Amino acid sequence: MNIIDWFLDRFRLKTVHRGIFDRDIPEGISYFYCFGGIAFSAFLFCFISGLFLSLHYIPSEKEAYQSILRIQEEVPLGKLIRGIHKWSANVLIVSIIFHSIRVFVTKSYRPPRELNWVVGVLVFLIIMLEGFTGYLLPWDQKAYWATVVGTNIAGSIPFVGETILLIIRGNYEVSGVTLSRFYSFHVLWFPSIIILLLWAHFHMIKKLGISKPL
Amino acid sequence: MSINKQLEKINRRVFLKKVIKSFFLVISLILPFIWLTILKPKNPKRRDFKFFEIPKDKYPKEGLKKVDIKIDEKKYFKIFLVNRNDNSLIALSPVCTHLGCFVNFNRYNNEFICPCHGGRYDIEGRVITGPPKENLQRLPVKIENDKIYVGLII
Repeated sequence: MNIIDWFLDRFRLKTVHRGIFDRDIPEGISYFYCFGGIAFSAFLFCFISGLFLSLHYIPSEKEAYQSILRIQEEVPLGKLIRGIHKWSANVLIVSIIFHSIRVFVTKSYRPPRELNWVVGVLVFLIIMLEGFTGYLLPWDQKAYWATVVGTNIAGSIPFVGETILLIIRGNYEVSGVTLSRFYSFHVLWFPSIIILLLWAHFHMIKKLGISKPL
Repeated sequence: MSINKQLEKINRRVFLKKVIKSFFLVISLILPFIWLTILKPKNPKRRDFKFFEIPKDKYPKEGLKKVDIKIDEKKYFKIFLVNRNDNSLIALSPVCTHLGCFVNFNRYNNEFICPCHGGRYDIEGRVITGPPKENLQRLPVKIENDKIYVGLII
């Protein structure tokens, strides 16, 4: 018994694996069914490149922009990893949109899969929030004013707008407080929520199966 | 006797289940409140104006001029200086009062136009049409030692 067999036997992962990967899929599905998988791969790319970026990024008012410059110019492979993070985020959002169009067109949202559609929409919303919070982090003029405008939209809600604005910004203006909480949302809160929701998404796909093409 | 004991056991089990359930329910209700109270600042402060010098060659002789105010080595902030006909100077913030986009000045119509939702202001920053309700903010200007300073919120 070599070490790999020993590991597989003790870990008892094989049956779980079989459940995930050895599944029957209906006849006649096309490459349009790949967009969900592409989106998940893009999410993994974002996640891993983000892990590397967080090693060098400093979420403070004075250091944020300088640290981005350092990542771009001094850190080995920094430019490449930042590029991967940016482009896989773009691919992620585009492929989620294509994925939801595919689900809509093939009517795969119908019972018993309606809850999966709801979870998917939640994932999409939080991915958009990831994009919004990530846009502030370079802390340059474009980032700052985009966040001012974006949060002002939430602030224009009647009656509760100003309170919501304070909750989002942590101050009357977009400031260092906003930067640090957006960083926390971007790297801790939203990714953990997304991972939970994705687990639910995949669990339901596994249990309910892929819908038959029309 | 034994049936009674079994019933007692079941009752205890039901009771414990309810206790655990209500425990998690209370926690899940408390957490959002904690989240909101942590995010909402206790005593938020509005920032004060900091004054920056306007270089002499940037004063508009007539009409309007877009001026970049140097804040530090790499940072500039764009403002509009307007020379009114009675030879007084006003400084206008370029931030639209609707949602905070930067307005542009249109020289043909002599008015500011916001690119986001089409809010329009006249040359002194008063609203003509569009979604904005307030006029463009007039930045405080002060004169010290023959130099003009403009106040910005940075």
